[in-house]
Amino acid sequence: MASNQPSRNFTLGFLTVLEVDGFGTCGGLLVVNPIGRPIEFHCTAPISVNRTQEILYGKSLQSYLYCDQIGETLIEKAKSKVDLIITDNDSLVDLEVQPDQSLVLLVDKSEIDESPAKLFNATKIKFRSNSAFHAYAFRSNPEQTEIAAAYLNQFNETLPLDEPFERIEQAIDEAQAVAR
Amino acid sequence: MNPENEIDWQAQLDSPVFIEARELQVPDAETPATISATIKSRRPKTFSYYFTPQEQLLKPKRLAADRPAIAKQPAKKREHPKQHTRIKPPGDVIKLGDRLFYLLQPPLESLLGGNTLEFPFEPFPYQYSGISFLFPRNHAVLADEMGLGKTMQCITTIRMLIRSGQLNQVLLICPKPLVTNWQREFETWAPEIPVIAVNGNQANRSWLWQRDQTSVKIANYELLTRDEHLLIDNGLSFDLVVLDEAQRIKNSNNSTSKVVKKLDRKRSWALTGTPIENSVDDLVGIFDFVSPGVVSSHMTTSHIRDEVQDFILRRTKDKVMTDMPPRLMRDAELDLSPEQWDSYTSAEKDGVLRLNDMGDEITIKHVFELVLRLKQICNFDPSTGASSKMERLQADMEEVAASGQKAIVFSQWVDAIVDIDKKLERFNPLQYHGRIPSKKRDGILDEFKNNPDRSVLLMSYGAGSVGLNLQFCRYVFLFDRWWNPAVEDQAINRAHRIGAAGSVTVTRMIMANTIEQRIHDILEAKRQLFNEILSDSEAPRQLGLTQDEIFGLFDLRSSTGKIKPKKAA
Repeated sequence: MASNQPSRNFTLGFLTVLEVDGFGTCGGLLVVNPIGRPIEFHCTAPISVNRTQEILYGKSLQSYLYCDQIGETLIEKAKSKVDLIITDNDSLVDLEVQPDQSLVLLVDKSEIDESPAKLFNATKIKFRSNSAFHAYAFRSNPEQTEIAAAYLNQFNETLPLDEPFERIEQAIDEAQAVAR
Repeated sequence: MNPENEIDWQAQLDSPVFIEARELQVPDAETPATISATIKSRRPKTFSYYFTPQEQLLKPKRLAADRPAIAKQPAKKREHPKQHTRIKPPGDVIKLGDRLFYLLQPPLESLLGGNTLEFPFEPFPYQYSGISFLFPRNHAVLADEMGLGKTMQCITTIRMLIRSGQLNQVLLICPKPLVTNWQREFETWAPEIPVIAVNGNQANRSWLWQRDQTSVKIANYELLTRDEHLLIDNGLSFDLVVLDEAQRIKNSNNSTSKVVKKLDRKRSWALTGTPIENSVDDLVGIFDFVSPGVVSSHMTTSHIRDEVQDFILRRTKDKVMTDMPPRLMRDAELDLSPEQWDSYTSAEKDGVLRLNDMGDEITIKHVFELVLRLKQICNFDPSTGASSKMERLQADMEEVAASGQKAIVFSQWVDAIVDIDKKLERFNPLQYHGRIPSKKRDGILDEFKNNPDRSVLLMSYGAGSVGLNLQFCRYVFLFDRWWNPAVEDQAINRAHRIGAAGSVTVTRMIMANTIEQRIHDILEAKRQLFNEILSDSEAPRQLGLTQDEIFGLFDLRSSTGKIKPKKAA
């Protein structure tokens, strides 16, 4: 159950999915503390879809791949209690998270669609200071949204909210380089 | 009902019933062909890594509660740094988990600029890069050009490593005059880190080496050689040993080099602005300490460069300090005064004749003596004290003092410094050289910095060319020239360094048509080559004046032809 008060030692899980040229789709989850220090990192081996999956899953293929296959797998691997899952990929907003977790989508202000269907059920999070992003909480009650806003605002004072995604990308690149 | 149509049911029933049973051939219903597709829902393979956030390991209060904290700046709204400097794993870190540990750290700007560590000044972007270079490395040479802040980068990295629990015992070795400078720099950049200078009598030093648990110990090279038995025989071990002005160990056979190489240590760092002072063998000597076995003198220059490139970081001001005030070099080509000219021509003529008479018995020492003699005459006429350089210096100093600026004058000889001192009396000169006791030197520098009446500091290359921060000076005079351009650069960079108050004007005094002119021409060519050594081009082996070049300063001939230096047996 969600606690009533934000924790001082909260953890954020930055989750993203990347297409690796010639290899397939990789996911990465970086769990950090309030000042951005890494606590856990999980990534998947690249996976690729076959023609059958493409036909049978049709339009739901990406959601299946990103959420069911990659996102859920990575979140299950986390040993720490992750208070907030943050993603920069709107294909991950259907991800099932724990009841006491919130899922937040970051959208670059310069890229936002005027009426994105994906944001239909989302609650917009307000930032205390200027941010280059809009943040939307999914399937979270008002109390959870408030706590998520507190965590995001605190983190935003230390680092840009998209910075951990750079690290995930570099780490996946490094892992791929080693694997090759 | 119409009776004609009535069926005679009775008759029909009486007739025998004939049933013809025929087998009907009905084909089986055709089963449609099916295609089955099994969707594998196996979860993708994952790789997991777990880390311990470092700042939770060691809080600053546990390090030195009695040390002053850096004065907190008033709270201000922090903006995210535009640059993200990341700690990249060095090539010798093999395990993926270890490499990811570095890659997944937040950018240095957030670690150093946030609440985790406080700093008196915002480091420059290239300094962040230097810290990110040192942080993950067990073997490193930070070879930035003088004045770019190697000290600050080293201290900050040590601070981060101590705070994260990766270092407990650090030994920093530097030239003796720089010990107090390092202490001051630690006070500035890492006030919570306990630092102690190892000195005193043998009993005191023995206690410090063996019992004292201060995180950072600072010792000078000479003392290290003296205390070899205390360090080596007692099996002392350090998490990190840093050599400042590491060119001191460029000769692998000298006693200092032998001792430092014996130190038991996990990490070995070398700081030097001149990793190659004379030849690439200097670099080999430094690497014998930093990472023994990586390079040897027998390797080609390009091979050495390939082997060391992951361990060495060198930046020059031209590349990183584009907004730094310029260094204006001007060569003051002067004519000898008539008195000097008479003395000079006579001394050169006599000297060359004497050398020629010696024939093949000449050694480098003999030639060298003549060079020094002539250089001294270029400074002052031995009989009358006349000096064109002095006249020029006095004129320039008038201008420097009148504008409220300060100048440093370098000379090779302490005797020359004493003579200059007398002639510049009205500018209240201060002297800083080997004859000044170490204990008095800091006071002299403070006096020079803080007393507006003190317009000029007279320094010897030996005592004043390394480690001192005199960036408030805007004028540097090289009264005579050192043999090695790297040493001259070090001297110049006492003033031309980070925090320089403005452009720094360097005046190199050269007497036309003399030995100084000849040496200058050779050194300029050498300087050109030196700059190429650490670039991608093929490097020359020898950068200082070679024996051939010193002999070549004069036209030495015997009855059998041109005199050349003897080859070593």
